[in-house]
Order: sequence, then structure tokens, then C-alpha cells
Amino acid sequence: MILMTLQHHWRSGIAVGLLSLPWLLVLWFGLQQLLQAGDYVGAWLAYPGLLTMISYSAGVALAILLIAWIALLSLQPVVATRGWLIQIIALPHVAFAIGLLWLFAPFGWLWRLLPEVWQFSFFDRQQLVSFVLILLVKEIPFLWLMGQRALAQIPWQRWLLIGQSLGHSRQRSWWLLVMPELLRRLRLPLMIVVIYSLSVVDIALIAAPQTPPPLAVQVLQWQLDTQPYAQHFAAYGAILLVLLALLACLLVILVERFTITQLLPRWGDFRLRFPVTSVVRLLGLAAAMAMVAQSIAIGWFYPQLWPNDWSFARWQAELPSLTGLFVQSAAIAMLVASLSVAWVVLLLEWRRRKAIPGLSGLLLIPLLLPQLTALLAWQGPLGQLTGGGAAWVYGVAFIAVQIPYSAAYAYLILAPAERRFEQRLVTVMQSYGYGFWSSWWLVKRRILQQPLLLAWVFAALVSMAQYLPIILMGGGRWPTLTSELVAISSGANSQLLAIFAVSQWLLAWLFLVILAWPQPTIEGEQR
Amino acid sequence: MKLWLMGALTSSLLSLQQVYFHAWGGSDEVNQYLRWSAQQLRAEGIDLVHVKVADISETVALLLRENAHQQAAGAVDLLWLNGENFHALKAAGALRGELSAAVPNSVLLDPTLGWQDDFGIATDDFELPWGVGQFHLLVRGQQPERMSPAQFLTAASSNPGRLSYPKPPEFHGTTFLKLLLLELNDHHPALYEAPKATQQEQLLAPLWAYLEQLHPLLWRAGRQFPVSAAQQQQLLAQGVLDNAVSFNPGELASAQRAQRLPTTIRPLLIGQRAITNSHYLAVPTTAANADAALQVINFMLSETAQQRKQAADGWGDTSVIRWSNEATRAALFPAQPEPHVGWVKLIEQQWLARYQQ
Repeated sequence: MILMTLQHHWRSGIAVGLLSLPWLLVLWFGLQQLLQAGDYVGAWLAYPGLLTMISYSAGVALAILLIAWIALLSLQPVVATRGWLIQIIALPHVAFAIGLLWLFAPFGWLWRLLPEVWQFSFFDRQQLVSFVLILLVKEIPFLWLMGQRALAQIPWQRWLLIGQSLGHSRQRSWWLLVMPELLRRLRLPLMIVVIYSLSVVDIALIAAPQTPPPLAVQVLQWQLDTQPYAQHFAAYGAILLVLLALLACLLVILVERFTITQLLPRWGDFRLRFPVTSVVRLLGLAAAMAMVAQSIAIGWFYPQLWPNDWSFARWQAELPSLTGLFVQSAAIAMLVASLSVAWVVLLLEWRRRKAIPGLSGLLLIPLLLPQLTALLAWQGPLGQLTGGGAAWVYGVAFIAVQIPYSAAYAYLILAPAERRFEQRLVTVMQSYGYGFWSSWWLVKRRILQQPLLLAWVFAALVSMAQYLPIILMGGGRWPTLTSELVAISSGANSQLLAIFAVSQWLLAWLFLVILAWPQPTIEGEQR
Repeated sequence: MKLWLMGALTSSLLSLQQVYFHAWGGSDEVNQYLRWSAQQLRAEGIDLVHVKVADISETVALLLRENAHQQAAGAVDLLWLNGENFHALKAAGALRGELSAAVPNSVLLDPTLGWQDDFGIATDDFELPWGVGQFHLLVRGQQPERMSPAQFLTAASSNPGRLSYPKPPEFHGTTFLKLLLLELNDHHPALYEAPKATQQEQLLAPLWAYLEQLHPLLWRAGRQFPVSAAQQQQLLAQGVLDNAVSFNPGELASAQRAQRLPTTIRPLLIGQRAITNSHYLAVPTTAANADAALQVINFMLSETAQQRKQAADGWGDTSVIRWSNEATRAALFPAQPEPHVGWVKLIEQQWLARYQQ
């Protein structure tokens, strides 16, 4: 018995150790920077536009929180929407923002169709409103997908029947019984969307105001600045971002509490419809089509409605390198996703035996911290191992640093489903003489197949979108579609950018289509 | 583009020496030129791998970390840089010195081009020039080839909301301000020396007065600016703006040939001369393949490579070597030397304090 307890202890010990080590390194790195000689806080507080930056970031997060909340309240169990949801989620962020602006901003393609009197610029480049709109169109499909996942896990039909048998209308039963549970389950996804809107840099550089920019953009610019004060400014800025993120999480919880205890009980017989569902779908597909069109357009200048020429020549020229990159990106993403899901599954099984203190927090830290800070902190120890070594050594390093990021999403999707699983089913199998992991495979994997696949796909998508680890940890030995896309998007060649964006979209789309759609809900999940 | 598996196979079969060259990957023309160079270098037993970065300061951050950890060998063999990135790496001792002794073709370098100083800091043989940059504007429509700042202001007021410049401290934007500072002060000799407290206000005043007039006439009334020269070129192509900025006198021709910019765009100088500086190649002290990297630099400074780089159907980047046949040199704008680096810091700080609140 004592031996068994010890066994459980070493498991959770290893888990906590492995999970917290990377962040202790970051903490150490941060402390080193903060404790270095020189007091820069005063100078930082006086940095031009700091208050505006903070208000931009906070304002954007708040707007996203409220609108996303309304979107969640209007969730309906509609399985048929999965197809378009997935296509929009698969769109690369930067390409999506560029596509939308190219269509709708002043002098954009649709602007060219409008008579002059209708031309007004509520949706323009470097404008807070357009930044929020683009984030919403990109993030609401993610929330809806999470919402559909949550619905798949609760027996809401049975609950509605119970509600109706107690004399409530169907809609009131929905508000009173289903929605509170749904909101609780969507707390983490909502936090992630809000934190993402605080920390996003690539979309902000294209769509948000720049004089001054939102705080996250400025933090990255300080980090890349070689002035002696800049690293300190970046550290203060990163701490402030983390504080804002924590505040936002608190707000999510407060809003949830308020809705469940105050709002929902008083709501009558009406159904909330989020009016822009079809608009979101239309915008997402329009942005994708804009990218496809640009990838084959030659010379497309204002005010021409069509380009001088259409041509696949550039696609053909890039095809050899694109094919290789496509395969390499897919292989890396699949490897990272498999390792991340395996790691999360292992942690969840360990947690069944013995609580792992702070598991959720430790797994979700990567979503809170600016990535460059973490990577530079890890560079010290990892660089000693990789320095000038063979390409595979760099491969191991950058795959290792991607795992926390992919595992966070895998955990987010898998954990709620796993928590509801009846572990005794595995025990029953074991009593028939199967080993633990073969019982796991035969029973648990089957019943949790859909969340497992979806977790894998999201882990792969997150890995696919990584840029900085490829350069800083991989030393550029392992280029991917994303690392090329990010490099190209720093230039002015919109056709080449579109070609890489479409390729990346195709790869993401393949992952999602093959693995997550369409699949019938498995009954066992709803137990 | 090189994939590791294929690369490893061919490299081991042909026993090629790999060189990981970190360089900005945003320009199609540059990327194509590096593909061509990689093909040429194969004959010398070198496998040149272009690691495309969005901003070379990412690599600089990595090198500074490696340097702080006194790492023996690192990921970067060669990098393309100038300005503040060079200053930081040189100050940290992260760059290999005495390059010209190790690169025989450095004797070809043309000493009259002024590359011995990189944005006001002596290169001291820690980097070797690769090409020459000359700051100019790209402007839509029939314009004179040169404008004084006053004429530029008139152009802006006759067509408000159509002109802009990249937001400082982006270096194109800063260069635009440096140029205005020099022009508005009639190239006052004090601007070429470290700024003295007594003169700062007096010499900077005309610049701020000018911008007070100019900004309301710019795109978004001067409250927003493009984030980079590349983004501004896209805005020019999309018809949002009537001007962009460039450091490469050959860029306009290649962009028009690729139909990336319309044919109605012309180059324009503010004042009579173009601020001229160079971009460089350097080898980190941690380079694992330093000898091969030096061999790459040697190739890049050869007549063949410099000529191909300068060719109008390619990158179009001005060469840095003396030609055996003087006619080979591309036509340059008259060169305007940089103001002292101290003034640059002042402009950047005060610009932010004034216009970013």
C-alpha cells in the first residue's frame, strides 16, 4: 500500500516537475532582467503613448469578451454548421486579415464596386474597430466549435425534457438547465479567446492602430530593440500583459457568475440569435477567395476591377519548394500533435490516480506569456545542447519547445470530456486480464475518439502556426510553410504571400477535414 | 529553399559544407538572387541555406543570447545586417573580426562609397559591405525628379491624405526625417558632429515646425503611419497612397517588371542628394562553419556575383566593388552623407514624444 502511494507520488512529482521547469526558467530569466543594474521603471512609465497602448489592449479585450459572450448565449445545437466553422478556423490569421482588408477597406476590391457616395471608411487599416471585427470573425468560429463540442458532452435533450415535465417552456428550460452548464464548460475557451486578443501581434500589425500600437506589439518591438533600456521595457510590458490577462480571466468568471445567477433565471421565452452567423461565414469564405484570387493575379491596381492577367506561372515556379515544405510542415505538425496529445493523455491518467497540483494552470501558462520571452529564456540551456550540432538536434529542440503550446490546446479540448469519463469501464476491462493501456485503447480511446481527434487536430494546427521556434530553436534548419509565409509577409509581394497563405490554408484544411468532419456523435460521450 | 532531408542526402553525397545564412526573406528578388548564389556555390563545395527571417533583429536577439551564455558554437554562420543591429553585435563582441584578411575579394571593394561607417559607427572589419542603399521616394504620376521640402509640402497640400512615410523608428521613416533635418538646416556642419546641448533646440526646431505643417496633410491626417517600407509599397500599389519609400535605386524597375507596382510610379529625391549607406555581411564568433561562411562572402564580392546582383532583371542592388570596366557601374544618385548618429537618437525620441500619445 505504501509502495503504491509512493508510486502515485512519483508520477505527480514528475508531472509537476516537467510542467513547471520551463516556466521556472522563464521566471529566472525575467528576474535576472529585472534585477540588472539600473532603474528603468520611471522611464518606462514616461514612454510616449503607454497609456493609450494599455487602453487599446484593454478595450479590445473587453469588446471581444462582451461580443463573444453574446455569441455564446446564442449558441444552438446545430451540427450542420461544422463544415464552414472548420474552414474559417483553418485560415491562417495573417492571410485572413489581409484578405478582409483588401476586400473591404477603402480602395479595396468591394470599394471599387460602390458608387462614390456610398464610400465611407468605417472599416479601414490601422483602426481599432477593424481590428476587433477581424478578431471576432476569426475567433467566433472557434468558440462555436467549442460550444458544439460542449453540447455533444451533455445530455441536453434529456434535460430539456425534464424541464418541460416540470412545466417550463422548452426555451426556458434551455436557459435554466442547459445554458448554465454550457457556460461553465466554455469558460476556458472564452478566456483563451480574450487572452489571444490581448497578446496577438501579427493581426495587430496589419489591422490595429500603430501610433501607438496595442501593448503586445510594442512589447515585441522592445524585445527586438537593441537599445540597453529596451529589454527592461519589454519585461515590464510583458508583466503588464500577464496582469491584464489575469484580470480578463477574472472578468470572464464574474460575467459568467452574473449571467448564471442574475440574468438567466429572469429570462423569459425568447431565443437569442446571433445575427452575424451567416455574415461570419460569408466574410471568412470571402477572405479565402480573395487570397486564392491574389495568388494567380498579375498586376491588380486601383481602380481596376480585374488584374492585368491571371497566371499560374508563379504557382508552377514555387511548386517544387512548396511540395517539400508542405510535406515537412505536415510531418512536423503531426509529430508535435501526437507527442502533445500523448503527454496530455498521460497527465490525465496520472491525475486519475493522484491529483496533480495546479495542472490546468501549468498547462495553460503558454497561452498567457509572450512567446519570445519564453523562447529567449529557454535558449540558454537548449542552445548549449544544440549549438552548431546536426540538424536533427535542432529538430528535437524546436519540437520540444512547441509541445507546451500544442499541449495547452489539446488539454483544453480533451480535459472536459475526460473528466466525465467513467473510469470503471477501464477497470472492468483490466479485470478481464487486459493491461491498463490496452484497456485504455480498447475502451477509453473508442469512447473519447472524437475529442481525442479534435485535440490532435488543434495541436497540429497550433504547431503549424509556429514561427519563432523555427527560427530561434530550430536555427532555420527546418523551414515550414509558416516560417516562409511570415518572412514573405514582411515584404511587399502580395502574390507570393497569397501563394504561401493558400498553401498553408490547404494543409490546415486537410487536417481538419480528414480528421474532424463529419463524424456522428458517439452516444457514450453523452453519459 | 532547402529541406533538410533532401539537403542532408545531397550534402553527404557531394560532401558539401553547409552555411546557414540568416537574411531577411521578405523580398522575392533577393530570395531569387540567393537561390542563384546557392547554385553557383555548389561548385565550390558549399551548400548555402537561406534562413528567411521576417526581421533580422530576431537573429540578433538569438546571437546576443548565445553570446551572453558564451556558447561555443551556434546556429548562425552568416548574417545580413546594418545599422543598430550591427552596433549591438559589435559592442557585444559577437562578431568575428579581421574579415578582409580572410576574404581575398575584399581588395575589390570601392573605398569611395563610404561603407567604412555603418550608420555612423566604424565597421572596423567586423562586417563587409554587400551593396549600397540610397534613400528616395517612389511617387505616382508626373513629378519633377527632385523636390525641396517646401515643394513636397505644396504637393501634399494640393492632394491631401495621399502621402505618408513609415513610422519612426523604422529606419526608412527615420531616414526621411534625417533628410528633412539636413535640408531644412541647409546642411549645417553641426549636424555632422555629436549634438551639443546649445544647438539641439535651434537645429531641430525647423524640422518640428515643418512636420506640424506636413502631418495634417498626410494619410489619416498624420495620426497613423505605415509600419514599414514594404507595407507602404503595398498601400501604393493598392491606390491608398501616392508615395512609398525605398533604399534600392533598382527596386522600382524590378517591381514594375513583376507588375508589383504600376508603371505610373517615378523615383523622387527630396533635396539634391540621396542619403547613402550600405548593407553588410558578417560572421558571428559562434559560427560553426566560419570558413565556409567566409568563402561565401568572398563569392558575394566577386565580379560575377556583384554583376548578377546589380542586373536590372534581378535584384537590381547597387554593387560595392571597383569595376575593371567603369561602365558596368549602375548610375547612382549623388550621395548625401549621414548626419551624426547622436542626432538620429534625438529625432527618434522627440518624434515619439510629439506624435505618439
